[in-house]
Amino acid sequence: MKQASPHTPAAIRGRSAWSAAWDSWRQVMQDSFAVVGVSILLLFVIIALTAPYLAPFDPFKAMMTETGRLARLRPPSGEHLLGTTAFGNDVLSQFLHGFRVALLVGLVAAIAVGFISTLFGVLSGYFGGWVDDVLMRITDVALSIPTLPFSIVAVALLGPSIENIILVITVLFWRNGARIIRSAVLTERERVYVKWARAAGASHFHIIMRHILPNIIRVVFLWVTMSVAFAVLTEASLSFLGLGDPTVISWGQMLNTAFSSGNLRTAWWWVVPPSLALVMLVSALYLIGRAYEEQTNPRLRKR
Amino acid sequence: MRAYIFRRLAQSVLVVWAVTTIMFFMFRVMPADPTAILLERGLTDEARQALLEQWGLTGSLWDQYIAYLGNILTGDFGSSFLYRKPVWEVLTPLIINTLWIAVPGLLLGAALGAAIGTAVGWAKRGGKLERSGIFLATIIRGVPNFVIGIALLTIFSSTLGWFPSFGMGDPGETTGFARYMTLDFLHHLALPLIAVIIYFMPENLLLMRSGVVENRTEDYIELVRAKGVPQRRVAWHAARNSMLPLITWLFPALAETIAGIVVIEIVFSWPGVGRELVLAVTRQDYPLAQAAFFLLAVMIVIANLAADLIYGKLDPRVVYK
Amino acid sequence: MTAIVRRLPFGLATGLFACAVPALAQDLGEPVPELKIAYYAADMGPMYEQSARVLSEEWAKLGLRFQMQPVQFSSFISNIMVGGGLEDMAVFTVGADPDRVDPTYWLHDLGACGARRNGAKWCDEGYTAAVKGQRELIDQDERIAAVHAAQQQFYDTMPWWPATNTVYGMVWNSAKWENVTSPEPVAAHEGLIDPWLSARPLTDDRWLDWAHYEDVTTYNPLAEEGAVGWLRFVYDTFAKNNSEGQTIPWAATEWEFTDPTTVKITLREGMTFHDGEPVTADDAVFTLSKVVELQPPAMSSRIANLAGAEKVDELTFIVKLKAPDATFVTTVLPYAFILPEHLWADYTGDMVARDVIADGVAIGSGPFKFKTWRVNEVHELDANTAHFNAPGYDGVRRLALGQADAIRSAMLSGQGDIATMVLPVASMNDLADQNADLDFLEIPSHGTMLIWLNNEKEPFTNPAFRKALRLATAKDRAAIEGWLGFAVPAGEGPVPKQLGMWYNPDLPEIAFDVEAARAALAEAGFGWDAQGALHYPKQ
Repeated sequence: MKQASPHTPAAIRGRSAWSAAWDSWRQVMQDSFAVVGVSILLLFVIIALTAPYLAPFDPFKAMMTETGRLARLRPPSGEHLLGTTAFGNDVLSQFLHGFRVALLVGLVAAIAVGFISTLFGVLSGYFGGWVDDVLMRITDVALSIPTLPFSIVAVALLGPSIENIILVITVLFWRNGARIIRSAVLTERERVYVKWARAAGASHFHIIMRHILPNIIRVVFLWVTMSVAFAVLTEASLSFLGLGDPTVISWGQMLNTAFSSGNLRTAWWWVVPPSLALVMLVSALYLIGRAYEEQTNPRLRKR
Repeated sequence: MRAYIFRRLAQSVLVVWAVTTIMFFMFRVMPADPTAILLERGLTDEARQALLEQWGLTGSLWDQYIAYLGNILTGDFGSSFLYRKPVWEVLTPLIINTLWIAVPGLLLGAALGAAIGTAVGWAKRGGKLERSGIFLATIIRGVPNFVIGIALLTIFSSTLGWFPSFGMGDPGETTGFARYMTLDFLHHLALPLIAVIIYFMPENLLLMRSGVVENRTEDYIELVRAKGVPQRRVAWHAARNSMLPLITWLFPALAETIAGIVVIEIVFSWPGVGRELVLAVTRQDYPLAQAAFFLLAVMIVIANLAADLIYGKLDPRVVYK
Repeated sequence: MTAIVRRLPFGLATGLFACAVPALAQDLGEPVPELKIAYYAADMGPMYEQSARVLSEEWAKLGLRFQMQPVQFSSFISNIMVGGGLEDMAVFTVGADPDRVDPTYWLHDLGACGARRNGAKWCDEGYTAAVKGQRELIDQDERIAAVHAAQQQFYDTMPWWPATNTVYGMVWNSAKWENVTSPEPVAAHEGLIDPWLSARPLTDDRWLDWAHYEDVTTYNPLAEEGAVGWLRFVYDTFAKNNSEGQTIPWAATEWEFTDPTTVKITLREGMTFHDGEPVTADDAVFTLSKVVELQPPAMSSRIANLAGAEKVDELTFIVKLKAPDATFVTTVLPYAFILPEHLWADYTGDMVARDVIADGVAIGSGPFKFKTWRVNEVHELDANTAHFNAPGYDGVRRLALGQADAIRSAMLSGQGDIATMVLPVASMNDLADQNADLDFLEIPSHGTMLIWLNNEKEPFTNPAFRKALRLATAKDRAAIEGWLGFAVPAGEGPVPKQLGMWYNPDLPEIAFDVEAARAALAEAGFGWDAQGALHYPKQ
C-alpha cells in the first residue's frame, strides 16, 4: 500500500476512523438523552462485571427452610432481598447473573454485526458492479426472512444454547446494517475529495480507510447500537418462548419460568426486576441510537 | 416503468425461492426427528419407515427437494403430520385470526403514531413537549412485547378484571364470520389489540416526528406560513409531506409486525399463525411449520415489492437508476 | 467467552474431599475423564435441568467432573434412547403411559438385548431370555415369580436405575363439581372413568370445562398419537385399567385365553354407536382386522403381536395372537377401540389418513359424542346418555389455552373446572391453597426418572463404578429440589413400585451414602490425586 506522506494535502490524506469516531462520540454526548442512555449502560456493564461477587447465592441453588422444605415463592425479606422463585432460587442472584447474559449477547452481536455489516456494506457500495449485485441479492433474501419466526425455527432446530442464539442473531441482523451502510458509502464515493484522492493515486484501501470509513462511522455506530438493542430483545423473546439456553440465567428466561409455572400474577418480585431491567437496557440503547440518528441526518439537527 | 416492475417481480420470485430452499434444508438437515414421540412409545422400524415414506421424508435429500418444489408450484404444501390434513386447511382460520389483531393494531398504531408524531415534530425544538414526547416514545419502544402483554394482563385482567385474559371468545355455537361480530369477540380482542398498538406505535411516532422536523424548515412551508395560514394548517402541510416515507415504510412494517406478533399471540393465547408456528416447530410438524414460515416470508416479499413499486411511482429516479 | 456465564456445578464439591484419601501418583491409573450428562432440555420443563444438577453435585463428590448436555426431547429419543447415541450418562423421564402398567416395558423394552429402547446398551442373553419368557406366561402367579426374579438379576447388575417416580396432580373447582376421583397410576388425561366419568355437577353448569395446554390433533383413532384419553371418550375400548392395577370390563364384559394364542372376548349387550346403530362383534372384528391389515404406524407398538380376529356370534369374537402374550390383557384391551363398520367399510381412501371430521364420521360408541372443534381453541363433546356408563352431566369441553397463565386465570375465574398436569404440579397445589373453591389432588404415578449409563464404555463397564454412582444418587434431593417435592424417591428395581404386585419388594434398599460410594471405589482400586480427581485402578 502506498502510504500517504505528511506532505500530501489534507483532502487526499483524509483522517483516521478513530478520530472520526471520537468526534462523533463527543457530539453524541452533547445530547442529554444519550447521556442518560450511556449512564444506564455503564451502570449495567459494571453490574455485569461484578455480578458473581454481588450475587448473594448461586443462582441455581435451591434454598431450603430449616425444616428441610424448599423455600418457594418467598416474598422479599432480609435474607432474600428480591424473594425466591417457585423453585426456591434466589431472585436477586438470578437477576444479577442476567446482566451478564444480556450484555454478552449484545456485545457479541454488536461486534459480529458491526464487522459483517460494515464489510459487506463497504465492499458493496464502494466497488459496485457484480460484487454489489451478488451482495445485494443476498441481502434481498435475508431481508425477506421474518426475524422472530426464523429465530424460533433455527434455535429450535439447532438446539437451545447461547452460542446458537448469538449465531442466529448475527445471521439475522447484519442485513439491514449492510443496506444502510452501503447507501452511505454510495453517497461518500461520489464526493469530490474521493475522486481527487483516487486521481492522486491513493489505493482503494487508503480511500476506504481514510475517506469512506471516517465519514460513515456514525452510521456504523447507529447501526451497532440498534443491533445491540435488537439482539437483547431477540434473546429475551426466544428465552421467553422457552428457547433460551437452560444452563445460563437470562431475564427472558426468568420471565419464562414465572410465566410457564403460572406465577406471573402472584410473584411480582420475580417478574418486575427482569422486566424493568430489559426495558431500561433496550431504552438506553435506543436513546443513544437516537442521538446518532439525529447526527447522521443533518436536517434533524437543531439550527 | 414496466421493465422495472418486471425486474422487481422476477427478483421477488427469486427471493421466495431462496427463502423456501433455506427453510427446506434447515428442517431436513437438522437432527430433529418427527417420529420421536412415537419412537418413545415403541414405534417399530418398519412402521417408522412407512411413516417417513408417507410424509415424503425418504429418498435422497435432492429428490425430496425436487418433489417439494414441484408440490409448492402446484400449491400443495402437503399435509400436517399431526392434524393429518392439508396445511392450508389448518392455517386458513388461523391466518384470519392473526389478521384480526395485526391489521387494526397496525392501522391504529400508525394513525396514533402519526398524530402524536406530528404534534411532537411541530412543537418547539428543545421544548418540554418535544423532549418528553421523544423520551417517552423511545422508552416505550424499548419495552419488549411480552412485557407489554404481561403488564396488560396483570393490570386489566387479573387486578381490575375488566377483560378476559385468554383466547378469542367464550365457547359457543356461533361459527363462521358471525363469530367476529359479537361483543364477546371484541371483549377478547381488546387487550391483544392494545398490545399490538403499543408495540407498534412508538417507532411510527418517531419516524413521523423526524419527517415533520425535516419538512418544517422547507421553503414551501415557509411560504405557506408567510401567507398567514393558521399554525394548525401549516403543521398539516408538513405532516402530509412526511407521510410519504411513512407509507412506504408501512408495508414492510406490516409484514414484520405480523411476524413479531408471535409473542403477543402466545401471551394472550390467541389462536393465530404465530402461535401455531411455535407449536408446529416444537412438535416437529415440518409441513405446517414450513407453510407458516413460507406464508410470513411471502407477506414480507409482497410488502417490500409494494413499497418499492409505490416508491418507484412517486420518485421516478429509482426506476431509471 | 461463554465459559464466563456457564456455571460449572462441580469443582467446589470435589475440593471438600481433596485431601481425604490422598494417593501417590504412581499408584494411580489414568484419570477418569469428564463425563457427559444428557438430560431433557428446558422445553420439557425445568425439572430435568434441576435434577441433573443436584444429582451431579453429589456424584462430583466421588472426584468426577461432568459436562451438562441439555438435549431436546425429539433428539433425545431418536439419538439416545433409540439411536444408541448415549455417550456417558443420561438423566431423563419416561412417562406414566397406560400400557406401562405392565412390567414388560420396564424389564424388556428398556433392558433386553436388541430391544429398541435399550439406550443404556446393556446386554445379557440369559436376562433377555427370561424377560421374553415372562410375557408368554398366561398364568399370573407364574408370571409374577418370573418378573420378580428378573428384577433381582437386574438389580444385582444395575446397568441403570430409577431415581424418582413422578407425582402428577389435578386441580378442580370443588364448588361446582364433586366426586372427582384419582386416576392413579396413570395421569388424569389418560384416564376415562377417573376423574371424568365419576365427576358430578353441583350447579346448573353441567358442562365440565377442562383447561388444557394444547389441541387434540385428530379424531381418527387410527392416526392419533397423543391425546389417547380424549379419543377414548368418543371411541370405547374393550377394557379399562383401574387404580388398583386391575383390568376391568368396559365394552367387553368377559375375556379368556382359550389357548395361549387365542383370546375369546364377549361384548357388552345393548351398546350403540352415536348414530344409533348397535355395536356388534362384526364391528369389533372389522376394526381389529383393519388394524392388522393396515398396521397404522401410530399404533405399531401395541398391535405388533395381533394376528387377526374372527366372529363367533353377535356379541362374541376371538382374537388370534402371533405368539403367547400375557400383556394382551393389560396393554391391548384397554387400548384397542371399536369403529362402526357401516361407516368405514365402504371408505376407499387411506383409512389412516381419513379426515373424520370433514366426513362427519367422528362416531364411536363412547360416553361422549363429538360436537365441535375450533382448531387450537376449543373442543366440545356432548354426553352420550345412551352409554352404559354415561356421565352425570351434559358434556365436556377442552380449552386449548397454550400457556400456564391462561390456565391459571381460567381456573380462578371459574371458566375452567379442572386442570390436569398442564401446570407444574406445585403451581396447581399453590392455586388450590390460595382459593377456597379449588381442590388439589396428588396422583402418584409410575412415570420414572431414570439414570442411564453407557454400559459399553469405561468406566461404566466396571461394576464397582456403577455401584458407587448408584450409592451416590441423591434421590431425595432430586425429588425435593428438582421436582419441588412432586416426585417420590423410586424403588430399587427397574419396575416401579407403583405397579403393585409386579414390583419385587424383597430387593434391599440401597441408601444414599457418598462415603460408602467412595469406599466401594477405593476397594475396587480406584484412587484420588492431590486435586481430588478420581483415577482408574493402575493396570
